[in-house]
Amino acid sequence: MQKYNQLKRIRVFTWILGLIIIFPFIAGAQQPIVNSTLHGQVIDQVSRKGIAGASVSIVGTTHSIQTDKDGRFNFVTGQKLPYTLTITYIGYETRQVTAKDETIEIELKESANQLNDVVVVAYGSQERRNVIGSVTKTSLEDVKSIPGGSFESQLQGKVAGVQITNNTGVPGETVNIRLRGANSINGNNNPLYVIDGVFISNSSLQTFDTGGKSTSPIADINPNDIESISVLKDAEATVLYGVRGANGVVIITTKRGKFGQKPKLDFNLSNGFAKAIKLWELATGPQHAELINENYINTGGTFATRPFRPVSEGGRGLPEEQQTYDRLSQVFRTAGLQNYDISVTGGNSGTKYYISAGYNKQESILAPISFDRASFKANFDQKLTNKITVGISNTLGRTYRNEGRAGDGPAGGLLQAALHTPTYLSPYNEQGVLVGRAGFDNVELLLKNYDINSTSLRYIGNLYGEAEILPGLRFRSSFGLDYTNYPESEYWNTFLISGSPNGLATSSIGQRTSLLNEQTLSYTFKVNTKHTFGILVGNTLQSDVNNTTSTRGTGFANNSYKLISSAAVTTGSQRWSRRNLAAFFTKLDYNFDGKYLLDFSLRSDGSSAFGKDKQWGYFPGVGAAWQLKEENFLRNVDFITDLKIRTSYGITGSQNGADDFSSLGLWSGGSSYQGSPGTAPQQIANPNLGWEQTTQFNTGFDLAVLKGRLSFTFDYYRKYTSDGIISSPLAATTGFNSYTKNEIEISNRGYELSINSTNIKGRDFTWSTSFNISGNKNKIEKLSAPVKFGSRDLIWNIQGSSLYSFYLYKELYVDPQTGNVVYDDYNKDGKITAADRQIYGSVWPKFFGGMGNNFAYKGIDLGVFFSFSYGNKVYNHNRFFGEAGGARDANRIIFASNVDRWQKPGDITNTPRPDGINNNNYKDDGSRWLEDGSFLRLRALTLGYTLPKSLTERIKLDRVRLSVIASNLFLITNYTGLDPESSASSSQNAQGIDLGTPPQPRSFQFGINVSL
Amino acid sequence: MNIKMKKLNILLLLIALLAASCKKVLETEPQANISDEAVIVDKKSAQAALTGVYDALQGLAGSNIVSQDLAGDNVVNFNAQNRVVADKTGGGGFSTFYVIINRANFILNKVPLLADGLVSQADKNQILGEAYFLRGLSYFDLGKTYGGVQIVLEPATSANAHKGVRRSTLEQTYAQALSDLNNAENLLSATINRNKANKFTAYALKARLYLYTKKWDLAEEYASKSIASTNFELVKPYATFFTSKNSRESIFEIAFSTSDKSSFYTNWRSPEQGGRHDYIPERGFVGLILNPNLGGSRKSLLFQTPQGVYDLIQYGNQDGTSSIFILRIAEQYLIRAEARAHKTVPDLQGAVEDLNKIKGRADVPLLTYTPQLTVNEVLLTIENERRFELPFEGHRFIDIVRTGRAAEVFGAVNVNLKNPNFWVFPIPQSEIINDPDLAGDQNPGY
Repeated sequence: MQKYNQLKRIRVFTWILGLIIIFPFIAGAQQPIVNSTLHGQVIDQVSRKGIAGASVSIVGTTHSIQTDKDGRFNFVTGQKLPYTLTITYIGYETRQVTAKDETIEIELKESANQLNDVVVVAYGSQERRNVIGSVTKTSLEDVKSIPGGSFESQLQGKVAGVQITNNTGVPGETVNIRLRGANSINGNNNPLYVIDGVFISNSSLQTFDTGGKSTSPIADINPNDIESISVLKDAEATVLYGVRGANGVVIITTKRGKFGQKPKLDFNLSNGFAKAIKLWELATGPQHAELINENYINTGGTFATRPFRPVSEGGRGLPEEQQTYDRLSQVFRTAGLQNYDISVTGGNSGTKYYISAGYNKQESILAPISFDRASFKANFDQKLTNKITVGISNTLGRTYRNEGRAGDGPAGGLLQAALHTPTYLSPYNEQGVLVGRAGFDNVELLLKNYDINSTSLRYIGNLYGEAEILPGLRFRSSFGLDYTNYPESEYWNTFLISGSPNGLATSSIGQRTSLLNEQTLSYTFKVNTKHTFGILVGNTLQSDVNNTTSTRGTGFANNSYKLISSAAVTTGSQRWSRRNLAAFFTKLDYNFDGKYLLDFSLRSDGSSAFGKDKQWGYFPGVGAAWQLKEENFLRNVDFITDLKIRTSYGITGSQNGADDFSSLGLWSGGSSYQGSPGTAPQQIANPNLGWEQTTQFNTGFDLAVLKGRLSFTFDYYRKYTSDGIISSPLAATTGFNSYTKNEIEISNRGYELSINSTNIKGRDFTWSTSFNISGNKNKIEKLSAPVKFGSRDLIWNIQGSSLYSFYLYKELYVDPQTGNVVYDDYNKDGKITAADRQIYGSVWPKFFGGMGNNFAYKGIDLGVFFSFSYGNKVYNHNRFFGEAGGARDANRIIFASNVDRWQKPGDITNTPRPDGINNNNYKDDGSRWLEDGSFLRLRALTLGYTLPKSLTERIKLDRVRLSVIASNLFLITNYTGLDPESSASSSQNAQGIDLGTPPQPRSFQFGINVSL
Repeated sequence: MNIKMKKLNILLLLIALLAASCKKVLETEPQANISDEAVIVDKKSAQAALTGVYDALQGLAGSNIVSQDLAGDNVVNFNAQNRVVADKTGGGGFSTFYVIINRANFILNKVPLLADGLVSQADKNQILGEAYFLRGLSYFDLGKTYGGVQIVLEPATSANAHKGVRRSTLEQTYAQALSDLNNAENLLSATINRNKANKFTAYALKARLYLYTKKWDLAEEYASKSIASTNFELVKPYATFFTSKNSRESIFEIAFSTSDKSSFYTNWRSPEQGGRHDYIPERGFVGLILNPNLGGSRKSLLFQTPQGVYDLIQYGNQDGTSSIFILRIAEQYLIRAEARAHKTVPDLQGAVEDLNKIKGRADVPLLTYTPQLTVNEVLLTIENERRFELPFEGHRFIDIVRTGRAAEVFGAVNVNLKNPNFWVFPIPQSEIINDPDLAGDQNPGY
């Protein structure tokens, strides 16, 4: 508590000091005197249509306004005519004109390239031409309607170097997002997310078991409120995030109003449905029975005692007498999708605002799972004087989920009940009562009685004050809060396995509070007009507290009582932890005449998670760029619009691998004996526990040709992570199993290429294409002992191979004579033993990316967006169970694919003879179930029609657009499961194992956007 | 301009102030846990730490007993009922003994340093005595299971705390156990608490250690201390010692309760009785126990399921409250009988007297003492009686091994056991991998 007060005191102190500095400026504010009025319009040079939202300012003052929807503006100012105006608008060349009369028309010319585009970077923003690091700016415009719940899932294929795997068709679940590979085994490899200047948490607060899956905290944020996303990839770009920068940084800028902008109301509505593209093909009852018989006989049983023989002989009936029961259609449904967004944007000369409300409801195609988010957003900025601005960003969201176990594990498992139960088994027993089969729940009972839900209530807010102390010298102070309240409850009644015998209920409330305070002071100045210098210094203080209280009750009088208070036995538990972070940073940059760019950054981070001797880390980075186009030899080469080469080197870190108190020697309570409370050592101290350190080298170029209509960005990088945190086994004599230490080393290297092209640009028809492709090679450089993950230890991390590699028996072929599988005798000892398992592929693709094509013809627009991945492997664990050749008898489903098995000498097939006893024909960790997960997916197809202005104006609307949005229209893959992106677990270390989770659905939505 | 520079200075000052405060910001302390330094500071916290040692023993006792009994001919795996005297591939609880030892080492290291005002000398002695006893018990059991082991007497506060400590000999390990038990004997009070260490638990365990190390006179002397005490007696009927808690039979039993459950019953009971049926008494041996002339009333250890299988119910309370017995008076009689028979001048009459106490309580025919009885005949009868009297408490395997009869008794069932290498357990392979100081030091033959 004392520490907390300490932190609080510092914050209060900082704020007061900030106010003291700002106060004189406030006091000096005066009422303006009106000296002139100017009416103007900004129009496109070609189309001669008004440009809405262009920024018009008077040179030499800070007075700036925005044009309205017709491009018009009015200046009422203390300046006397004539004066010079600067007009800027993204995508157009900035222009200066002198206003002499009271009316003016200004033509803007569309800019040939995006060099003036402003890109958000660490603690600031830069014009694209001045960016040194590898930073990609993107928006969600063409993908935000893809069902999925979180914007990160929608980003798949959008940004070079960012690999996104969606894992499941359940909306709002954790997705795997990797920027330039993965650096850590113990630590979360997700990038750092910054929303409106707040470092938000992206680890799930879920405590309940949903079969290894977890909810995504990123899904708390409404994608519609996002203006733009900056993805910071190389060390130059991320080094100012120091100990949190190694996984890359994603900066999300939400929508804000513009000064002098008339209120604009936007309303979006979309409604639609989603459905699985296909479902598994299962063996019929008779086929299932036949395989069991065949297996029985092949493994030494006699024909007379085969399981499926006439009932009169004591059997289960002949194969052909078996029924086939369909369970899949009971759990898979046509899922409803709804989305509503309403927002108002606007501002006057001193105030700007954006307020919005959103509601999104998505059913999963797998009943009874659903996702339901309601959100508010309110961003305000207020100029106190010409030099001081204060503002606040608020995001408030409530996400309610009906959850389900859509992953691994028998009890309550939806697809275990519906997919893994043999088709020949009736859902009813002899008495006509619904029963679960094969150790799984009964589907009907499951759907009727499922009751797991969670609510995430989240507030993300940031309050800032910014002052221009001297021209070019700015001070900014901000306070952030990321707060989540996460209640969960589940109730398993007596009809379900988990609720046997007398019911089970759990209720848990998680809370996470992250408090943030940052100050930055920046100064830019020019020397001799050619030398531009920039200095930035700043500090960060952050405190994250996590706590969870949960209770559990068993033994309910009957199924009507669900509250834990009515349980016979109740237990409770509580957890609490805190992590504090303090940091100082600086950045110095130098720009010579727009030709040579150079910067140096340094961040010093102190984290309480590390050992006493290792709390502070220093993270330096340097970057340089050469704007060749500005050189004389290229200046007059018209073909080349832009050419810049960039390079950077730096060190960033990660603290994700260490728990909040990993470095301390700890004793815990709860070790009781005879009712006396006891204490016991829980964890051995490691005062040397420090951050994971990643050095990264990056080099690349930006090239634009043909008046900017064709542009390329290419980057090559090498990353090397050392001091990787791992749980390392200890000598038994210490009395501990393991401790957390820095040991492993991992490297990543790869390339990224983005191409943007405006193929056709006419008055009525435009066609543009964007394409990106990336490849990353990951390698574990140092690891003393293999670390195993995944169901049945299918995934092994071994020194010399890449993370998430499959460790399997390699199956060569099925011997046509015997019908048995021939395995690769890896160690050549003549026997197939555990020593013959080998690294056999990994979840890493050789390359991945996306391609978008946008067409516009008059009011019609069409967007087609593909994503692809090549060379990644998926372990089809559903198929392992479903192709067990009858060996699992009545305990598992048999897939239709297993029917095509070897039956007699000479049969050429990949499916061996049913015999899992004498000849390991259906070995788990055999390579037969490891499949190529390459895919090409039509992620989104959007067809829109904007009603003609003439029509909309008549109904007093500014803009009306009708659209049809389809996602996943097709999926091209060799994978035999439903979706190569499926993973039973949300854990990064157990990805690529497909079991018990639904595919991403195909969806259609109809949308209306109205602006007024 | 000057004023503005001042403002800049204020900012710089602010940043400097923040820097100074950061050190404290980074000192976070967990609420659910306390650090090594703060853990044993007074009487209450020392007692809590001691409770933590018993807690570790609770977790270990059952698994060690099962490993021992599976190694012998009394118990088999339910799924491999024909594999009597199975080869040993691991088990025994190696690392868990060191958990107990480490917890005890913290107490032995920190309690002596506590100021007198915080804890009285008598309390200190009791706490230290119990810790010595529990450490002595651990080294004794480690020695009997694995042969000589690494001896560590300081708490581990860092990963490298015990780097360089190699295995000791069995003699050194037993000597450490004896030294700990001597300290325990000196420090502990004689107040009876059957669930915790006291003077009598030290006596009784020393008696066992002297027997194993063939110090016959001392074994007799120390066994006699408990036998002579009015606190202990053989309870009748036999089942009383495990159906009731803390009977007068008991010298040291590890207690469990509904709020501090033992899961040991799940290893033994059938699924119908809420268990997993991992282990069952070996069928041939069941036949012997059921024989009124051999097992007698000790058949009450068994329960026949509707399927006809005989399950052990000694640990069978389905609410998890069955005790685990470390020391009871019956063993002391048998120790004394064996010691008397072995003495330089054997006291066979005394040995038979002690033996008949056990036989009489179990309602089996007594052995009549005659001067014609040989030492070997008496020893063999004692060996058999130990098998029936202490069948599922981890004695059988070591009894046969320590008397040098393993080749004959177990070798007849499993030829591998003719090889003395297999008379001790292998050190678990994972422990050898995890500890460079064990590299190349596996027990021979494994």
